[in-house]
Amino acid sequence: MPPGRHTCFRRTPTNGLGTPLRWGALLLAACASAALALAPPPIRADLDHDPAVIEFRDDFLAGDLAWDAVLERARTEGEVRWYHWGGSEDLNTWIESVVVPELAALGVRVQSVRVPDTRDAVDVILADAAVGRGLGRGAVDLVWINGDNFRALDANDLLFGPFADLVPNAVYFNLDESDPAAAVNLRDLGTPTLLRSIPWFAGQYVCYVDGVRLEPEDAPRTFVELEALARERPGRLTYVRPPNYIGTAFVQGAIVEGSGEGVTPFLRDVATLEPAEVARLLRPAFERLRRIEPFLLGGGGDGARGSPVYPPTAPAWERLLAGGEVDMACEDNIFHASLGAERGRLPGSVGTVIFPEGAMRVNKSFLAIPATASNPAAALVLANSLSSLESHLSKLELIGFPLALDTDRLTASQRSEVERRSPDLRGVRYEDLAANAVPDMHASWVGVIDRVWERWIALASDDEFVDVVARALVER
Amino acid sequence: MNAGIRSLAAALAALPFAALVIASLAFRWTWPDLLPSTWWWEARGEARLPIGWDYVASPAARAWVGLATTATIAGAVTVVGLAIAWPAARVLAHERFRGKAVVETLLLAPLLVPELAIALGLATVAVQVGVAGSWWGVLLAHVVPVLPYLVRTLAAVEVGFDRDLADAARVHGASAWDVLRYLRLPLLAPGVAASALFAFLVSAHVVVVTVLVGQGRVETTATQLFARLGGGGALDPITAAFALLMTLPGLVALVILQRVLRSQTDVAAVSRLARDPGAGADRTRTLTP
Amino acid sequence: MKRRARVVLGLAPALATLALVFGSALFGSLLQSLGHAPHVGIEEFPTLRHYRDVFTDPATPVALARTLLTALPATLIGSILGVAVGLAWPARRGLAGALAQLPLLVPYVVAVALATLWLAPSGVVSRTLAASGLLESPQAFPRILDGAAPWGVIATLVWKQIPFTALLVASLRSGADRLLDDVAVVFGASRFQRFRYVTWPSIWPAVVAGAVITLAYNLGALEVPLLLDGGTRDTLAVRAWRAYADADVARRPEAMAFAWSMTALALLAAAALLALGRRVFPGDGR
Repeated sequence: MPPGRHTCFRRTPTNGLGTPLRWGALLLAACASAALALAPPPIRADLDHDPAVIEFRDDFLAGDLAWDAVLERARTEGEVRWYHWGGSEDLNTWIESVVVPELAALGVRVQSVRVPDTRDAVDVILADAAVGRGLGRGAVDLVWINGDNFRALDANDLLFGPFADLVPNAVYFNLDESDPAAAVNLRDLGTPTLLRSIPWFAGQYVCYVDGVRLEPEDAPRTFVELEALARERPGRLTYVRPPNYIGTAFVQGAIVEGSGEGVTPFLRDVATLEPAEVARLLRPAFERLRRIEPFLLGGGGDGARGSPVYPPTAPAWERLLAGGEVDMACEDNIFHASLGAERGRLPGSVGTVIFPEGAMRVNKSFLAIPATASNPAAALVLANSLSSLESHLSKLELIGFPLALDTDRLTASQRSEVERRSPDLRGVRYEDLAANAVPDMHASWVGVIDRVWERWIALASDDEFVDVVARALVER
Repeated sequence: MNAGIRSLAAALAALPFAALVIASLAFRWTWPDLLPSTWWWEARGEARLPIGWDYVASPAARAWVGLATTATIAGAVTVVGLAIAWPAARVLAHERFRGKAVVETLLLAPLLVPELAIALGLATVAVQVGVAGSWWGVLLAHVVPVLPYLVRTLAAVEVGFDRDLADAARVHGASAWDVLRYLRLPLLAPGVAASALFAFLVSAHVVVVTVLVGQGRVETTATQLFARLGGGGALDPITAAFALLMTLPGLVALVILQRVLRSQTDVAAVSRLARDPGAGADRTRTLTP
Repeated sequence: MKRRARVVLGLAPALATLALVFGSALFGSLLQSLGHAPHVGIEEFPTLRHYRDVFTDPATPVALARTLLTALPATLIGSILGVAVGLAWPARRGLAGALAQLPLLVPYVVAVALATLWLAPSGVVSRTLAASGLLESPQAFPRILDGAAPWGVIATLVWKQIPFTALLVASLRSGADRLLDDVAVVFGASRFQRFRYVTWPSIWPAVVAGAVITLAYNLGALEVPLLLDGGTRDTLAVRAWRAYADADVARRPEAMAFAWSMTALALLAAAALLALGRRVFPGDGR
């Protein structure tokens, strides 16, 4: 195993230390800060790297390069291939009309590669590495990424290195490992980013209703109320099926509320818990999800499962709402209702609601440079450019992507600028959103929850719930 | 009664497209409105970003790039396919040899193996060979679904060519070139053109293989539409517009078939394929890849 | 000798391409299903573990049932309607003939878009019913898509396949058959008798050949059930796709095992249908 921070990280889920969570966190923090003081971390030796690019990388990560030198090198590289989820026409338009000209002015041509799923970008990186292509040889220079996908690159040692605090626009981010408030910038669903990625999108799970059919005041605020509403008006609610992340987030909300212990038990690696304990935490939510199933869209009503409809993606859920089939849908963006109404995808009567109360998960997604990048300097320049305040503001104003930088790093006048250029929240206040936000679960829970949902809900398994959970834990 | 069935079939086939045109021109079209309450042209003035067809026409949508990629790849696949399939078709049409049935079955096999199974395998092979995510990879991959169809239709065309005619010409002193120039090409051209046209369509319509071998880096109209479709609810205007663009190659083919190649493709000519039912099957089947 | 060289040279490019591209694809996925996938860090060749996982997974019988419930009715209905349309196919194609071919000339993804537009609970059919006062809300619309039975998927497959079977049948209805048909009318044959003893013998080989190909396609179809069947019951192809698309690359061999099981099913079904066709109508045909 290569020395350095990765080794430290992999050892963290040790258990049997009394309070593994705290010990793990301490150990991690120690490792991370120790590693920061070291020379650039080693890069996979089994790949074929371009020596010139390696030299650039080592110089840059050691802090020996002025930003001008990076800009100069980026001009020489000439292009940057940015892989990102391409399912949003708004984002595509913003990239073409704002990002591309901005980088062209710096002498860098942006090739934005729209992948249907970020996993496809990870696939390309893994495939490049599988045939020995290392730094200076691969197809992907920069990727918009988080969660499982980031974890896959981390596990395969395929990240360029800790660059986030070395780009000029790092000033907008709290990257201080000793500050708990910085965790959202330094942890990607529990995986330490170790500065190998920089925040770019700030998600908060939020739901919206069509006011014509369901007044925002009548919308459920908790899963208990959701169940009551479903029984009262059957066939008018549903949620996206896991493993789509919007579906998993819905189930996670039910779990956090149902366990009665908040999000705390779910911040640690699920592998540190006994199956019985995991089952105890998950059971209330899954029993509720099973109870409400007959009252969901397509359900058979009281006592009959029917043929419940679980849309595959968030846009499909949105279309069900727009078509009048369901009364509530959710997304990962607090401005979603506003943007949807403006773009005609949603009726003008749509309003945002606080749901689930005290369990609206927030997380960030990031820009990362793979260890196979052919144009790392151009990737750094693009990442820096995308991290500027103006870039975030224009993204906020034009396409409603929330700021991923930390507003407490802004001046008062900059903050009022943010306020001025923010889209309407359509019926809720920032304070309410912030008050009900919870951090995302540790990434290890996702696979378990998805598998339990598949067996217990989709296949309506007759097995004991504990057995279903135990099997999911083994399969993970 | 026949006329009734005919009109019904035609209506069932064509009418759905009318709604597609309306959907592509809608801005807001909520249930239960029969027509959009706000049309695209009414909303486009106020939109801060291009909507509907404005987006589709803008470079950001890459619709034109997608169509160009589709046409280029399909054109190349057709040329490569013809070069490979025609010699084989000639042999199958005119020669008898041991193992002919086996060869015919082998060449038909890609039709019976599900496209997904082929695509999953090709995706890995393409990575190992180093053509994943490139036009070359997609081009090679498309040859698989196109080949069986081309071989069988070209064989049917070749069967229709009377070789006694060529022999007679040679007896009268025609050179091999003359036979090719004045007999084979004029007689075979319409049939081969129809074959090539369908091969082009097959390639333009391949989705799963293109998605997996192209790794998202090769965007054809088919993969663009596939990426936009997701289960549930109504169809948004941009997806409807992409679906219309995806209909274009087929419409062009239909016009060509009806106008230019009419003599070769009416029922009487098609019935020539009847000597070989398998060939008839493939002729049309491969339009449903 | 020269003839033999002609045969070999003529066939070589096609067979070589097929072996290189198609053959290597199948071989590659077979190896992966048996545990050889070094590019994603899996090397336990040979193992039947992934096939065992597929066959013991409680989801597999559900998927198999969904697959059959989709493919068999679609093939049957498509063939029957295709024959009906094929027999009515105009001798000279006018506008109707041209339009009726449209489904053949567009890909399945377009058919999916049309099905969504028309058959969804908020779709055009539902709106038309609402406009005529027959429907109060989209929820009251029968679930054709995403429902307990895969009606939407079947309808889409059938829509695409009607002109296919119809063209096959029409291509076999040569002038001689029509003449024979007229003779039968003169001799007072009933409509059914004419169909059974004149028409059917001439078209059944095409009908069976068409059904074999459509059945093989329908059993392995991905786009249509993936995009139109959003319930909880996936077909085999959709399960293979989901396993492949999983963020966990360790599920790749499972996807390949699914794909191979599905391929075996498609080939077996095609062979069975072919044999059945030969057995049921041995005396027919010419």
